Amino acid sequence: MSNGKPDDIRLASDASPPQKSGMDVMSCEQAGRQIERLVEDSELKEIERTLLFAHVRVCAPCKAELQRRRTMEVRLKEAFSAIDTRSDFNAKLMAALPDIEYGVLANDDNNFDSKSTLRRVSARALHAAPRIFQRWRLPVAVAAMVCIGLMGLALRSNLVTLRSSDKPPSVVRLSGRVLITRRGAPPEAPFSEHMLIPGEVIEVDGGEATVRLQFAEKLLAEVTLQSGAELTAVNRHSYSLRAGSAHFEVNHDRPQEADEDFEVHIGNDAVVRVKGTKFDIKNVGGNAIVSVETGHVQVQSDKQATSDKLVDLHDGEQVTLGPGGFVSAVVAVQKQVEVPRLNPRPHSPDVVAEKAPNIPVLPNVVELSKTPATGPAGAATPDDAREFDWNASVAPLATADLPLADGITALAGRMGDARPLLDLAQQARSLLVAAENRLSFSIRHPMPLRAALAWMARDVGLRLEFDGKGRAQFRVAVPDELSGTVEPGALPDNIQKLLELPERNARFASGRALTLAAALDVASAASGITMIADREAVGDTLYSPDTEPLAQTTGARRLDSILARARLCAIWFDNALYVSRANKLEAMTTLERSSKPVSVLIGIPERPEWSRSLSAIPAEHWRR
Amino acid sequence: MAWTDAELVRETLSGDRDAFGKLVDRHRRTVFALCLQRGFQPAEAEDLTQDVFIKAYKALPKLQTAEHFGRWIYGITAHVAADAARTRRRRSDDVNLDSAGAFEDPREGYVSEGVLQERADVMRALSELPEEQRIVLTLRYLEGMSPKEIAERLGEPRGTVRSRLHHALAYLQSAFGTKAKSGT
Repeated sequence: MSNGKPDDIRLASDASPPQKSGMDVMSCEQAGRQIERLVEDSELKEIERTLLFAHVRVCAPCKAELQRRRTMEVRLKEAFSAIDTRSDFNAKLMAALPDIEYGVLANDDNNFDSKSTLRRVSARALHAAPRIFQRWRLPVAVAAMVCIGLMGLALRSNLVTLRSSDKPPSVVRLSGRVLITRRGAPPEAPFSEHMLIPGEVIEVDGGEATVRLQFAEKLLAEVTLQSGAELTAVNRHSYSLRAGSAHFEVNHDRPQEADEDFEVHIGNDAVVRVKGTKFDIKNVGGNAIVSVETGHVQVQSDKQATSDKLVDLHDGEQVTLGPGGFVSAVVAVQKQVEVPRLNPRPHSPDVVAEKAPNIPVLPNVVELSKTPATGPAGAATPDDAREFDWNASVAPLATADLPLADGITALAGRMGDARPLLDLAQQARSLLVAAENRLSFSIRHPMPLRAALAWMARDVGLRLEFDGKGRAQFRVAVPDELSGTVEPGALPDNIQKLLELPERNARFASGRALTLAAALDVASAASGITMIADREAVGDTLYSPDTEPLAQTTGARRLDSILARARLCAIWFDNALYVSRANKLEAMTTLERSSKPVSVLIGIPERPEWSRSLSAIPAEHWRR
Repeated sequence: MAWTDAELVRETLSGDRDAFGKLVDRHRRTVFALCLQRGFQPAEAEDLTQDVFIKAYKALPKLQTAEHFGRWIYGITAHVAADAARTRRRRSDDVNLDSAGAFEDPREGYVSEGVLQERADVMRALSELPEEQRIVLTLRYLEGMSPKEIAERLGEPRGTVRSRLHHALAYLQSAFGTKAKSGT
């Protein structure tokens, strides 16, 4: 540790200076809270950091407080920096570990051998252990003999000397061919019943097999393992599905202690906990889909932020996990029904109107402001992607409820079946998360193709990336990309002006209750902002216009009002305002933050971190 | 991708001894620091750290929730350190926290007496905090973890971690302030 300045603390002088006077919109009380968050969390958003430093720059007490906190933090870091063990600590410790062969008799307390303590290598141990050993040699020897005797007796008579919950279950084959394998050992012959020990793996020898897990002759669960599935048991209530897919039917009346959930670990960082239910775990392409047939399970992902790491699933619900945590929201289990296709069948406005009749039906025509650089369909060359105009404007298009691939195919169809887009659609079809989650919005106003694709990707938990050759590709977003900070700086500088134009404000003069979607349409038309409204968010909600005289309001305030009263959030990204519920928006804001920053504009009361109103963000932050 | 604690625990229980080595490597410094904060000299603290991991290795099958390995091993640390402190009191072999040399960094060359004294001061202030606050502070400033990461390691709600951090820092702020005013 150096004595340098900690990474997460910057003094006012370090921050970009305010670009104009009057930027200090923060009170000392607010600044105090932000200073605490800065020191304790290091998780201030860039906009919050900027506003804080703008305040600190002009407020001596707050500056002193920040300096004081920073000094203390430096002292703590400096003091901790010197703390470490000797470099050979690990080697010595590993040499001193007792010879317990886990994976063979790991649960057997009696197997721990007190003589192993003699092998310890510390100076204290060298001096202290012999004296202790001499004093306790006889009792230890007697105790060891008694333990060994009891262990033998227990094994012979199948007595339970461990806590019941620590013991593994036995497995009974019900159908199919099942093998029990151990690391480094040849598989056991097919069996009908077998007492599992930790480290053993239940595998299917081709096809599908069903086994019964039981404890003391009582049913714990029935598990149907698909080909390639590997299941291990740590004890009677904790299992790990190392590979493949399996269907579990957990007995509600199984032997259990209080708070002993039946749990199945998926991969290494997620766990499904159940009380008694039927559920599936499918491992497909690096992702795991947990779906509940009946009952209730709790899915925990260690890769997820603490507040979001637990997901409750009930009857007919499923969630998808990737290597980095959840990659989808909880959705209804996808039944094997015909997926609506846009091509060759022309897409119908009914797709949009079906679930939310109050949302205006979108025109069934897409007009391009630019002709794609590629030629007609089928004439594409390998260089299409490089020459393709990803910024071509696309007109409104009903994409809600479509799988991502179909949404992209629809876009491609309107652009002469452009090959780069068809390739992208093909990619989307191959991605599980894209197949499992349907688009939640329609393109409501003209916007660049690139932005539309980015939104579609993030809507289903993907990230859209472009390589150096102009080719677009999807990849599954990882939690780090879902929990980062939100940066300001993406609103074009003409937006503020648009929002303040009196003639545009006049268009708010409806005076009657509107559906939220219609209200947003009006706000969009009044402000000139391209807006994407999340179907789930706008739904059937009604919005009653404020009674504030129009002369005293502005487009920005009106939009704030709509969103705040509907408890919605909005962010500006790539020339479009995306409106959604906070939980979904939070995941979306940072998906592409490395390539295109976004601004959080509107907050809801219980989420102060989102409380930045459209009109409260200084225009300077919106300039590119 | 780094292995999680839970993953390493399960690997250890499957017979992979090296997995436990990875767990040691991950938690060694924190356990060592918690022992130091109890007032032990570095050599003693290192022995205690070794004790902690040996006990943990033996008791690993009893760990109910592998995800909570961090919280579990810090609990073992508290017990081991408390036992050792009792033994030390019986032997009237008190350590002297004022001994600046206790915090000499073997990796560095010359470290000024003032810096060593400063480290001792900070550690003494830390020793006055409740155990759970010391753990949170140690993870924050020794391991550089965010409250979110600390919450995940300890299996505690993030709000709880924040609260402990807040109270600990408030106490230290007050302790440091008092010391500064007294001119020490």
